Amino acid sequence: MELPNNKIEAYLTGKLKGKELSEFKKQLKTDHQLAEEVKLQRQLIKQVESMGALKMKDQLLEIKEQLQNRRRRLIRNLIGLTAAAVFAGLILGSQFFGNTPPSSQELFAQHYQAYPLPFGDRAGGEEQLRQAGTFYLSSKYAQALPLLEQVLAENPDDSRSRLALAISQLELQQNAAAQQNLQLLIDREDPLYLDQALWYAALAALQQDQVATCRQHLIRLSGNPRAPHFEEAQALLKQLQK
Amino acid sequence: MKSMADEEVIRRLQSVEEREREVALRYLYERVQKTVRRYILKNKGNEQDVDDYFHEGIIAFYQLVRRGKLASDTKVEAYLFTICRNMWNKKLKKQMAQVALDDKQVPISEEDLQLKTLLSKERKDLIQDLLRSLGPDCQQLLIHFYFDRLRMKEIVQKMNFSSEQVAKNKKSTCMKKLRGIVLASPFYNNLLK
Repeated sequence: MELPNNKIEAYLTGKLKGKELSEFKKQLKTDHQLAEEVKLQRQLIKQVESMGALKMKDQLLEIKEQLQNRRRRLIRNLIGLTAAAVFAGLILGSQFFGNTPPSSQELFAQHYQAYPLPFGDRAGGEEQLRQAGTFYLSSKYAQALPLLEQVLAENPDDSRSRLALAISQLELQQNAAAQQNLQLLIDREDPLYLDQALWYAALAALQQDQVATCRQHLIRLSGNPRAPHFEEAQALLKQLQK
Repeated sequence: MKSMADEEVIRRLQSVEEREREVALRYLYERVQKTVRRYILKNKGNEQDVDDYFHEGIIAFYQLVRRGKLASDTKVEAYLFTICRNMWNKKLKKQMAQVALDDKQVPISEEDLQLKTLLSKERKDLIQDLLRSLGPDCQQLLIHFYFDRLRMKEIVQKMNFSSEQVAKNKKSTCMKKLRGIVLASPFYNNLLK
């Protein structure tokens, strides 16, 4: 006997109502085959919901990491501002001898910090990716880089690994390659990584003295007040205007 | 973070756009996590419990929103906190009941506690295996339909199917694939019951 799959799905997703629902429930009590099929499909849907929940947990962990990093940066900036205030006299004094604006490389050094991408258990059991994540998080970029390249050869759409690769390349002074990978992420417009990609692309351009390109990325980043590097982007844009 | 109206949070969570959903999740994280953290730490929890239960709470809240089960005048932040608090209290009650039971019988050994942790990690690994076996297209399609509760029209738009019928056929194929994987493996069969 052919089972009414549409009705089963409607029942399990809460779309069956009224008379149809009560009749279906009656049928379940008497039709053993139907009851078994409903039980199985319920399990399958439960597994899909678990998959969705697991992916959402990954997203929440990323958000947690980003918020923590932003807090740390704010604290660091506050400490920096305090130190600047203490040395205000020296800064004022230097005006007498001519104060030159910081170079692109100085600005890069001021603002750049490798992003601690969360890998951890979410590497999903892929040994290569787990290892790459471990190296990356221990700042062993030379070891992380070839592993990340292999991961991306198999899965070119893995945005997290591509961001890690770009940052590793920046750390190893492979700027042109880093810019290429960051541009790929920007073109992809993956909502989870776009803001990070714009920020690092701005810094990569800055290090190459490509100030116009740097500004372009920063202006785009400044369009999103909720972006993790929003305040820094605004601060750097101001410095570049000097 | 700038305050967002409750309707705005719900609208963003109901949106088809990933970016909109992320903004709402980030907002909820910033506004509610501290309160949940304070409550759990004050009530015999630790930092890992805070993460676990806050995340479970957000996921439960998200599913309620996607299923249209929230009243129009819901106070989002208070509601989310209540979900997390109730989940935590339920866990504490279970724990206390278990301790009372164990006082009468044999106390839970360290091994048994580790076994429980291992099973839930095992289950997590199984789900990861399922995800991998299904492949990214089927994963995405089934999660959009059953977890995100997107309508077929929205799935067609998001995943660039040529029509709703094509999307329905693909969904049917993916469910058959999932069914095949689960039924073929006694390991899955047993552990996922």
